[in-house]
Amino acid sequence: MLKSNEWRVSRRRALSLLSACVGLASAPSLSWALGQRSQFGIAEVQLPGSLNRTLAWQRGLFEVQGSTSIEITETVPRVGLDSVDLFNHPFTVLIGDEGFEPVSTLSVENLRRYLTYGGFLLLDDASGRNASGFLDSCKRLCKRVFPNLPLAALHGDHSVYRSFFLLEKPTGRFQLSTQLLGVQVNTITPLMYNANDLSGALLVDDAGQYRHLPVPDGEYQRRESVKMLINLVLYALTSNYKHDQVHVAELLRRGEF
Amino acid sequence: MEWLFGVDIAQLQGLEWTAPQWKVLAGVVCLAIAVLMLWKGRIGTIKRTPEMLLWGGVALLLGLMNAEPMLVSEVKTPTDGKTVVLVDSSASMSVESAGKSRFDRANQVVSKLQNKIGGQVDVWYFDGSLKQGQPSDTELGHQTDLLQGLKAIRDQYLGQELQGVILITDGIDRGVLKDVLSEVPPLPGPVSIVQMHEQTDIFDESVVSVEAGGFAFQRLTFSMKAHVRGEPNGSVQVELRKNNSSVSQQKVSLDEKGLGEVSFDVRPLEVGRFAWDVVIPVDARDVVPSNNYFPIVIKVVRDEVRVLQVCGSPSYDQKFLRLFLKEDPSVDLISFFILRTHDDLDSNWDSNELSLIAFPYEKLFTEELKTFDLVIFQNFNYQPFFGYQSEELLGNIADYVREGGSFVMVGGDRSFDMGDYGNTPIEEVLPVNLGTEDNVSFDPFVPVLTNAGEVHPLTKLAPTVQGNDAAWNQLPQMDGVNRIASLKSNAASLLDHPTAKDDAGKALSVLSVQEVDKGRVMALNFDSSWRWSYSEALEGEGNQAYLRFWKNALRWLIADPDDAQAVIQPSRENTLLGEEMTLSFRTRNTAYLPSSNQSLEVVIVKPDGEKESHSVITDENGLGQLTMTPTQQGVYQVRAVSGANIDVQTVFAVSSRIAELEDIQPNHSLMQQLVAQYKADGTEAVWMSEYDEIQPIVYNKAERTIVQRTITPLAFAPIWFLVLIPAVMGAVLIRRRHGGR
Repeated sequence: MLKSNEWRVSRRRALSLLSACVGLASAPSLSWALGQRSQFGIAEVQLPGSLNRTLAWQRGLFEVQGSTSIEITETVPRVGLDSVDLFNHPFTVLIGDEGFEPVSTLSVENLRRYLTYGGFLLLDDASGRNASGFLDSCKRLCKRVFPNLPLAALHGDHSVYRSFFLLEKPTGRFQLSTQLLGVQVNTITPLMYNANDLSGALLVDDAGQYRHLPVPDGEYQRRESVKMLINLVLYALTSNYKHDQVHVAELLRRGEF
Repeated sequence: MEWLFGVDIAQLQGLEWTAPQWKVLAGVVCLAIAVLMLWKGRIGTIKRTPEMLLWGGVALLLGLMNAEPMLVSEVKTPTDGKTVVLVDSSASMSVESAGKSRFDRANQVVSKLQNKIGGQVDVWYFDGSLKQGQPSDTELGHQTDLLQGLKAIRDQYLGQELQGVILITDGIDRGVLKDVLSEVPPLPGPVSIVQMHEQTDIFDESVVSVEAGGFAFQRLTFSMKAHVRGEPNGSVQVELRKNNSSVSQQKVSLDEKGLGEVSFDVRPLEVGRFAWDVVIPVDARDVVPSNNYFPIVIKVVRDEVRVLQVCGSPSYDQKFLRLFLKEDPSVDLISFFILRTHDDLDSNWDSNELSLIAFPYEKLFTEELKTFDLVIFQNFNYQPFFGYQSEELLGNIADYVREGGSFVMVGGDRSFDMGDYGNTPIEEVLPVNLGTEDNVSFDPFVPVLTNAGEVHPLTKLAPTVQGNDAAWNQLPQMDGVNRIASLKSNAASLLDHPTAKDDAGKALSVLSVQEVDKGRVMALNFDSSWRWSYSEALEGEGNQAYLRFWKNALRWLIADPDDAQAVIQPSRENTLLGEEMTLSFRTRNTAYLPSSNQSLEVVIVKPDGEKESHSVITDENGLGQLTMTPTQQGVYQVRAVSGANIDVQTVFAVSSRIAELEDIQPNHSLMQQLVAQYKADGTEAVWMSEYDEIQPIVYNKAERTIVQRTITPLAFAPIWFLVLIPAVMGAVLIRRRHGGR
């Protein structure tokens, strides 16, 4: 089994990033935002029956920090949907491997405001099944939060597939679905569902060893899972920025920008 | 009979009552009272009836005399007919040849005719209507209507025979004569047409009109289409100018009628009213040089606010600001986020896996900078990108601000002193002084409104001062702050840190603004304004605090011309010479309330440079007006100044373009057709050139009747007294016989 830091990338290839990245710092910069509370972090939504995978997110955040300019906090707090604290964490995840009971009306109202005014929620299905109870519960929740907006498959040209890496499909510990589901609110998608157990692919034990070998493609799939998480984080922070960039690039090519 | 009534009854034409109604009514009332008083005590006495009948008759006669009856009589005397000369006084008659205009030459013809023709000669001038008295060159009309002129002559001399009607014109008609030639009015005399024209072909090039759609959008290309006229099948050089500098030139081919059109594409970068001129260089042979120039003012409006957001690192603060900007339909947002720095190169990702594009900083901060209304540096560290070009590129941004751009620096670990902006051109335009060693504080705090912040539109979250204070006090803590050395003297701090001091020992400003020449700058020294978005949301009240703050900021930073402290609004951007123009002035104070009783010194600079000064005082609504009538063709500049705070200006264009001067070729054909039509109708008619011997047809036998009308007052005619005196005497006699006094 290969560890993430064993991915073989040549020095020449690394240097070629110079031409691809959005600007390069000629000197290292020490970055810490203005206080830990403004750093990017992931909070787990706590519901009866939901899973907690703090170590998976910490591992993922480590990759986010190492690969992007985003400043992160490794603390992974747990928040309730009916909690005021939810609004201190604009990026949240809900992990489950089975159906969950309907949440309170207060939680639904809270979640609607949270998502409408800038929050992001990833629903991570750890069941390893295609038509899981967790998916059914998520659909019911979405229906209550956004009665008129469907939880629908995101097209391949969605910004989440190009927010940092070029991806073709979502991945995780499993490869059950080739599409993310999401709720589109105006021009953004503040809620996404991944059927492939993303956190399962990132989960490590106390010694830092990965707990599960993704199937069917093993470490390659884990690598893609890391990329998926980074793209999700970048999408949550920059929304359709990439879509704009394509437009800008086109303008630049035409010399009209 | 003539003695009795005072007039010859044979010449009597009628009776007119001329007293005003009030006088008649007053007389009736007085007479009625007098009769009633005479009747008093005699009611029911039958033998007094004759007396009262006589008094009644006297009263009736006095009442009729009081109504001022007039006898009208007429005496008719036959005499020789008149000759009518009808002179075209339209603008096309101003065309000059050999130093004399057609109108001057026409008046010479009139003088000759007056000497040559016996009897009375009536001279009339016409363009759209009939006038007596020779107009000056500047009073020449704008719309020749020959048919109306002829009809007016017919009506004026209805029932008379004229010795002749002599029409002196260049034949250019803007009415419908050519379409209704068969309906020309019959005239009471022979018709002679003297054709005014030049002996050689005239040369005139003109800009007939310019179409630009009334207004244009900032940064969007629009077309200015000019219609031009010149020599048939020839060509003209047409130039577009702005501020007396050539913008573009084009050679235009003309069709067989000498008409052509040309389009100039213009991309305005600034908002406001701007003047352009479409010009054809004046040829020495050009008989009407004034129509070679067409001034036009276009109002350029902003359909979108173009914002450049540059962010050094994706963050919640950047996310929420981007969401706000993206959701505002009036904002055209271009974002650049630095997703990866040098530090991140150690991660083992292949460039083929990445979806990143280069940051075109050089292009952005040189040639494209002026296309943005607002530039936001959000936790952006320039050094790794700008490198050795730092001074130049940051200098470009500072110049952009001074020339009217807007700039915001939002806090973060790459901003202010933490981004090493001290001693750079950016520091020169920031409202704060940098260079502090203690450049950051991580202590959470709630910003406090300053005195300036309580009234400034940027920090107005609620309509009242108390409501605004309450709104700010309810907002959550910010996470930390970029410390500064001090606030600049000409800047305003709108929010202060509740406890921290700057290096000058004053309250640490965390939100400050400053106007730098024409531009505006805002410094927000923290990176957690995004928390305002949720502060109300979690209470079920939306995210109004965050939206209001940034909307206010955008509005203030962009400084829309119509949102300035003083605005001048002309009633039209483009008007015609002689048309009344109203200039409206609107003023407001720094709290965005109407500024009443504001005295504005207004200077109007005419196209020839002459200045006109006015004083305008605004009313309780902050409004004032000035009405004027432009007297020159060209661009008028209007400037209003009040103290040190108000200095605004605008422009409007005045063109003298009139249809009369679009085509100035004399129309021989139409006049000859008119003569043929009169002949066909049985009226003697002749056409002649002004250069021929002027021999109009004049009937010496024509006669007319002069009517002498006499009005004689009937009230004092002898007939009245012959009736009145016996009646009074009879009544008195009867009265006395029956014991009356």
